[in-house]
Parts: sequence; C-alpha cells; structure tokens
Amino acid sequence: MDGNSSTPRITCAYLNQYVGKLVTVVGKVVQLRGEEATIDADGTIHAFLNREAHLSANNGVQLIGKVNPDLSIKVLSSIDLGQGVDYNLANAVVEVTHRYKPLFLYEN
Amino acid sequence: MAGQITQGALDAMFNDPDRAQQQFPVPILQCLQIKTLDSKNGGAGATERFRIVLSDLKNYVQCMMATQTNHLVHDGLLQRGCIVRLKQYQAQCLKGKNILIVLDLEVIQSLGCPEKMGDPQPLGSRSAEPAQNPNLGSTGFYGVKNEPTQDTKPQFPRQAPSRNTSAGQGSSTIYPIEGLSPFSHKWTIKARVTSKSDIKTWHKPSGEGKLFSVNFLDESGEIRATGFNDQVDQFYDLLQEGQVYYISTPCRVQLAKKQYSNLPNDYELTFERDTQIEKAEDQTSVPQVRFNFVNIQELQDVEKDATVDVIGVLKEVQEVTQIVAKNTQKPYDKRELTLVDNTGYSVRCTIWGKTATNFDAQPESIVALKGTKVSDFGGRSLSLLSSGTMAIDPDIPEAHHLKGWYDSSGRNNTFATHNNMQTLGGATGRKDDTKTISQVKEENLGTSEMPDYFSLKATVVFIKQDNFAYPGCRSEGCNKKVTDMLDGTWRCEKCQVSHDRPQYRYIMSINVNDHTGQLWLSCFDDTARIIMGKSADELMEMRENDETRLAAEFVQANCRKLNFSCRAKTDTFGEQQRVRYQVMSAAPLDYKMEGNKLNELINAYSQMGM
Repeated sequence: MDGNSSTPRITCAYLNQYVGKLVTVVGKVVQLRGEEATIDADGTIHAFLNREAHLSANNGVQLIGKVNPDLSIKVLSSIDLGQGVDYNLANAVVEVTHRYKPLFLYEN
Repeated sequence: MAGQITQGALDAMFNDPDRAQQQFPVPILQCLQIKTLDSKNGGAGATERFRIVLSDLKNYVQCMMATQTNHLVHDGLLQRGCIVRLKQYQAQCLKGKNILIVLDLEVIQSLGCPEKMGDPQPLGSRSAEPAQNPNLGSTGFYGVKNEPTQDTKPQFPRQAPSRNTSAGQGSSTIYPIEGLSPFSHKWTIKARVTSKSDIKTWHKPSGEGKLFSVNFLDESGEIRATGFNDQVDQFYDLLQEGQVYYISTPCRVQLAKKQYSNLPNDYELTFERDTQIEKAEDQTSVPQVRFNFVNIQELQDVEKDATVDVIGVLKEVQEVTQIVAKNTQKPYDKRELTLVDNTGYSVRCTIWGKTATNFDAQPESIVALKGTKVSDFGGRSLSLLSSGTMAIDPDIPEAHHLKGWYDSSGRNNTFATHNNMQTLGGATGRKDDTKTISQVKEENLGTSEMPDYFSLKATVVFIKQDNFAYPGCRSEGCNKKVTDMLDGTWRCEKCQVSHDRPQYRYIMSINVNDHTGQLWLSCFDDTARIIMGKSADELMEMRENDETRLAAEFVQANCRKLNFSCRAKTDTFGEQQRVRYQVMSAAPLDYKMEGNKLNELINAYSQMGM
C-alpha cells in the first residue's frame, strides 16, 4: 500500500466525490453479466470486473477500484463475502468514515 | 318493684369500683333493649354477639354480653324490660364511653318484663353506639392479640394517643412514635416490643462494653432503641418480646444509624439511667406487627439492597440445603420459596436458619414476610433478614384478599418473573458490564469485599509458558491436584484413589491488551482450551516430546481477540493484597454484534457533541 494515498470506503452516493480515485465498496451482487456486474451499495453501481473476479449472485462482495467519469467502477480487486453480510453495518461504517474524515482518510 | 333495682349501682361500678363491691355486690338492673350484632370481620368467624342496655333507674349503660350468656337470649329468657341480676361483669371505659361487659347474668323471671322504669340518663359521656367489632381499615393495625380473659373483649377501634384511665402512667400524654424527635423534651410512648436482640459484647482497644436493642411499635410507626452497659442490666430482663410498655423521658433521641436497623425511622432511642420503662396494664391497644407491603410486580422498581415487606401465596417450597460461607466457613441452613401474588408476578425468596429448618407451611398458604432484602439476582429476588419475621396465614385483610384471589383465579395462572428484567448491561444478569482495561483499573474493580464481574474485549498478547497446567485427578467431578508418587502412580488425596496418569488441567496466566491498557488474567481449563485449541494433556505431551512444536502452539494461540467474562477479587498473599482477575468464560467475537455496538457508541458520542 502506498504511504500517501487512501482508498476510502464509499457507497453509491459518494461516487461523484471520488471520480478518478481509488475507492472500496461493500455491496450485494444483484446481477452478473460476463465481465460486468451490478452491485447494490445503498444504490446501484456498475462494476467492470477483471480476470480474477469470481463473484456469485446474491453474495456480498468487497470491491476496490477506480471511479470512472460515468460513475461506474473499474474493479482492480474483489473479495467474495458470502451470505451473512450485514449491509446496514457496512453502510454505517461508510457514514462514520465520512463524518470523521481526518481519522480515516489522507488529505493530500 | 322499682325498689328491687339497685339504683346508683352503675355510677358506682364505673366511677368507684370499691364502693360498688361493697354496696352493690350483685347489682339488679333492668334490660331496656337487646340488639344482635352481626360480626363483620371481627376475628372468630360468625360469632353472634348481643348488645343490651341496662339501667339502674338513675342511669343506663351499653353492655356487651359475653358469648357464654348468649343462651339467655336464645332461650327467650332475656327480653326487653326484664329485670336481671348481674353476677359478674367488667366495667370498661372506651374512648370516653362507658361499656359494661356482662360475664354472668341471671334473669329474675318472677319480676316479668315491665315497661321502662324511671328516666335513666346515659352514664358518663353520651354514647350513641357501643363498641362494636369495628372494621379494621387497611391502614389499621393487624393481629390485635385478645387478652386471655374469659371472654373476647370487643375490638378496640384505632386509638389516637389519648389519655388512658388504666393504671400506670397517670398524667402525661402519650406521644406517637412518629412524633419523636431530638426536639421533644418530655414524652411518653406506649409501644410493643416487636423484637429484642441478644446481649452483644465488644472488646476494642478503646474500651469494652455490652449492648442490646429492641424494636418498638405503635400505631404510628416503629423505632429502634438501644441500651448500653448499665442499662443492659436495668432493662434487659424487663423488656419482653410481644409485651407493651410505657417508655418515658429521660431517654435520648438520636439520628438513626441505618446500617444496624431495618426500620424506616430517621431516629432511634438510647436508654439512659433514669429512663422510665413500665409494663402496660392494657396489652391490647397497641398493634402487634406493622407491615408495609410492596406487591411483587412493584419489586422491580425497588432498588437493590432495599428492605421491604411482602405478602404472597406460597407457590413452591424447596428442601432445606446447607451452604458453607466461604469467608467464615460457617454452615448456614437455607430454603428457597417461590411467592406469587395478584399482580401476576412471582419472586424467589430465601429464608435462613431456624426459620428455614422449622418451615412447615404448605403450598397455597399465605406467607407474609417483614424485613426482606431485595437483590437483583435473577432479576429480582428476596432474602429474609435475620432481623425480619415471617407470618404464615396471618389474619390480616391482605392475606384474606390474596386467598380469595388465589382460590378463584390465581391458582391456574402462569406468573411472570423478573428474570427478563435487564439489569445493568444485559440479559445475562450480573456478568455483563463491558469495560475497557483502563476502566477496570480506574474503577478499582475487585477491591471491595464482593467480587466484581465484567466483560472485556481484548487481544491475547502473551501466554505464560511455564506452569501452564497442573496434574489433576481423573475421577469424575474431582479436579484436585494429584501427587506424583514417583512409582508411576498419581494419588488423589480427596478421592483416596491412585491413577496411572493424571489429567492435566490448564491454570494459565495470559496478558491481554486493548486500546486502553494491559491486564493479566488467569484462565482455568475450559477457557484455556478455547484459547489454545488443544487439551492440556496434549500440550504436556508435546512438552515431553517436541518442544519446538509446543512453542509453535503458543505462538499460534497468541494475538487472538476474544470476549472475556471476568471476575475480579482481592486475594491475600501473605501480607500483600492483590486484585486477581479470573476468566469465567471466553468466546470469539461476533463481529456483526460488535460492529453494531461500536456504531451505536459512535452515534452516542456524536449526539453528545464530541
């Protein structure tokens, strides 16, 4: 990991704040179509997957990727989280991250 | 015929008993009226009582017939107007009214039943009604003991402190106990001794002495009184439990030392050398016990360690068990009861000592307890104090009320308990206060007499590797350390058995950290097994055979974050006292729950404006 950048956790609402930046998203796989996936993270996000991604529909997933200008995500790494994901908790973490930005994010 | 009547007898009987004895040994009176009294709740069920008016031509007076004279009315011998010979009687003055108790009466049949003779005036104060069996109000007193005379005296209505014409204290006014304060200089109380303690002695460098204490009760309230040294000799034998006394100044009234008493009075009395204590002639006008009941549902609002009185239907009785107090090694007898009442709640109550061993009430009887301590064990539970008392099927309105309720609907009810009441921190009762390590140290948990229980979320950072287990007995239920007899056997002294190998049990010291500090905890077999993932026997074997593997096991067990349920208490090591923290149980974290807890915590902080 770089020493001078961070990958903040976000949900759908924060996409436009981080265009062109690296972000982390936790959400549920709604639809899978080849190399594209639709993710629900407090809103719908389009994700363009890479070779290593092995996702299953209805499972939770944590994606790390770059936000495209059209607010879709180019996925660099993905982790399948299985079934028992508490999405409310995950979203709460995102809220807290943004409320207390200095604790969680590097300001360049 | 008028000449037959002993005129003036009534006046003498009430105001000059000696003259009455001389002049009118057997008064002859006319019966002006007979009335039947339907007994309300005057104790003995459906006793028929008659009240009559007797006149001596000069005066008339209300009279109560003793039940042994009832036959005269039943047989029709005693009728309005007839002349009677009063063979045995008692003259009473009740609240300023004169009442005659007729113990033995003979009707002079030959004189028939003439019309009312003369123009008799009421004797003494105008009394419209005789003393009937009054309704005992719910705030009245309970269990007035009838004096062991030949008849049952009428129940006295609740007396305000009034002048008593009975012998004893002549002129001073009787104070109510509630009225006592350090500001009252001269007073007399008339009260019953509800309990008397044994003589206690103390020996301290500052001096020695002896004391005893009693609890006094009257209609207004209760107060504790103590006598020291000389007063013990003066008064200990005089004051008997259950008897009524007049106590007068000089006698000190001081602020009560609440830790020695379960009474609600702010003040308490201390006997002095000149304190007057006299046994009262009239033992009945003072109540016997005073209850202040809390119903079982209300118990949940009562604070822990408070003292209350309760009454309930006995639902369950356990056997007497004996437990040995850890600190004093004394055995105590105890018995657990379950009480229910018409609020639909049930509560467990523990009774001790003789009360427990001699307890013989049947389920479904009414039990009233005075002086129980409320604890939050299992939600709410009660323990009868040594100074408290228990009454079975007492003759008081609440008991009758409960009996009625139980017979009609209560028997088949299911009862709620306070077990699901959340005590501080969660549903598992006392063990669930989550603390950080710094809180544990700051709050000095474990330094008081009682052990403290708390929960800790922390990471294992170091496990002590020497002496992590001891050889234990293999017998079922016995974990005592066995001695190596050096001949291949291991002997357990408690079971008197030898084993060929011991069952090693963990006794492990671990150091845990959280974001606030570090703490040494000691774990027993079951917890350590969770941490290590292996049994102590396996590890001991590894120690014998493969030391490197052993080291690896410890490394692997390290750095795990767990939820520890701990107990803190102070142990004495020779001269030093140290707080030791023992793990009762350990569990891996439920991340979701923990995450949500943290979220709530954060929200709480931000609401507070941090």
